[in-house]
Amino acid sequence: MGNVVETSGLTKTYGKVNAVDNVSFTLEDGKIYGLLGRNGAGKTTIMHMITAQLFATSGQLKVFGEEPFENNRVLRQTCFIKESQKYPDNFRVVDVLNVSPLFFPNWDREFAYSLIKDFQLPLKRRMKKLSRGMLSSVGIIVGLASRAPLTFFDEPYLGLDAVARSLFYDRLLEDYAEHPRTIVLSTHLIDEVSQLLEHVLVIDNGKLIINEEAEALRGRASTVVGLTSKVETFLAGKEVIHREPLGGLISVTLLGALTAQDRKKAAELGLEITPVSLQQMIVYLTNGKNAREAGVS
Amino acid sequence: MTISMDDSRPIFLQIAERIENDIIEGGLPEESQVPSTNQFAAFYQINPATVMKGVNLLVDQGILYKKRGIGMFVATGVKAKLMEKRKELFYEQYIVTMVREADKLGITADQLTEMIRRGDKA
Amino acid sequence: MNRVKGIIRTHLTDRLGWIFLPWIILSSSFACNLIIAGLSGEEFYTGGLASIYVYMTILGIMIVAQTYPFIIGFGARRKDYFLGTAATIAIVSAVFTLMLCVLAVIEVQSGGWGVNLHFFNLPYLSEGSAIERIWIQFSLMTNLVFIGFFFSCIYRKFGRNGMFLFFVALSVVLSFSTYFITIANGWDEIFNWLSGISAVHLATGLFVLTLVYLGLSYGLLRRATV
Repeated sequence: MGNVVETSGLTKTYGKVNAVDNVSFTLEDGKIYGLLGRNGAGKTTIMHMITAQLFATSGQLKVFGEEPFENNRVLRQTCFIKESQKYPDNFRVVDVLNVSPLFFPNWDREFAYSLIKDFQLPLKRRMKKLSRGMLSSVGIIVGLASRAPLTFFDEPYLGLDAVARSLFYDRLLEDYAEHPRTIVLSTHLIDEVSQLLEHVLVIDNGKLIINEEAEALRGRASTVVGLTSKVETFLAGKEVIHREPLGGLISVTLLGALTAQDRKKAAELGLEITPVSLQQMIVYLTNGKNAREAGVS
Repeated sequence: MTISMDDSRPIFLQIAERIENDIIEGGLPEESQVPSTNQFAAFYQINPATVMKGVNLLVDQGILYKKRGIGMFVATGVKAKLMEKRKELFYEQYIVTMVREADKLGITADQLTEMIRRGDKA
Repeated sequence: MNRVKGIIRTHLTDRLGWIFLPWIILSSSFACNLIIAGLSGEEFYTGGLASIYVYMTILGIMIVAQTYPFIIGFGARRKDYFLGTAATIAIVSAVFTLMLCVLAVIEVQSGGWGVNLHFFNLPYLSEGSAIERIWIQFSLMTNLVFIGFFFSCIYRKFGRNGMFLFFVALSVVLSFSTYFITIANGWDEIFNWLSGISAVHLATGLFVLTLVYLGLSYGLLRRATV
């Protein structure tokens, strides 16, 4: 499978601040990626650069093997749905649907209209009169029906309730199954999407700190709870990402899969081991106390 | 609908286990067709590549087999094989732990046997 | 080429802004003037036609803010956006100019709509052959829209501060030129020269200026972000 996106040393600087700091990764054809991290970590800036809407300060960037800037071969294969997408004031929902095929050659009109029904959108309403959730739904519909070989969803569901979000995941998976393509989901609702992801990229303070298969990250972190002295003996040689004392007890979160031996030892020490969700692990890793950097894989 | 997976282990293992469970419980009889990767993916809201990994695990073990252009099927004789495997797992997961815990609490083997009998009636 | 057409179609999807509003504004101005001319019963000259030119200038200012983030966000090239937008402005201006010229002819034929009203057929603007008249009005309209477009490109590339600096610089340049013309006693010459120029020549001059704004606008848009 080919690489759809390749970045190397990608950097975006505003004044003295590195919004994106020396980021290198590749996105492969036909996978669903999660681009995760806190708000303001630099996720949106990275996607803006990949789609040539922002200019990188330095670094290499290849999309479909070419420079994306002013390159229709790249741009017409790319769809970037962002939370902040602007629409002309006089445009109605139906106008957005009518012009979309002018930009996305794979546009499926029937699919778009079936999604309009699913999300119960008023076709004739002006875009600027839509609620936050409806606006998000329009973005989701454009992103799905455009069937672009490289599709970005940046926080696509602000204002959407759990039912509508689940509908999005359903339609996304169904359509992805029939029309495999590279999809990047950028969100802070990590637990909700983690099952959908094949590969995870985590950005913290402009840096790429995790670049791994989602499955490899599952069970990567665990929390050990028990008497402080016993927990401390168990910790020897392990990477601790979070610590929370509670009286004589302590709860410690470890990075790294636990071996059967570890578990046996923990059981002997009377320690309780609980799994840590991907979201919780990322929260611990990105709370500013841990400086990490992902290896280039 | 989101069916949550256990956070502590890879999802593909959990998918493989669910299929194994279905075979053991008779939901998927031998020589019956297994739902497609995409059906699984849609049902559990899971990435299809992850499902594929779980299914391939079972194919590698000879539990499922591929019919070209048709799909995946449950192999003959695997139900007994799976039961055997589960019995071993049961011994490791439950019996060993139970005996260790019983030992800690000073429960004798006879008492334990008696308790199991009682549990059966409950 | 297809992409440029796509941009034109995207612009014209907003029929209210591009087509209906300018004519609604112009018709209401026309209706008012018609009533006044009818009541006064005398030959009546009015500048009501300016309303459509003012509207088109504002349209030029609004275009970039309204459509650039949308169209670039949907994956268009900046070059295609520029060409498509310039083409839309040119097409719409050409059609409007033709309609204005036809209305001017009707105005003359109907004796000023029966009430001696001079709304479309004005001295200076409506001089020379048909082609010359069309050229004059077309250059005037495109010039105004593209000035607006140019300003909004400055805003898009450099933001509010850039816009502010641009106008400070512009006013400094204008003040100095006024000052030097005054101390050189050049005003009479300039007025003489201007009054000697025909509307057609002025129109051609405006068109050259328009091309300059266009070039500058493209340079700005190519480096503008969303």
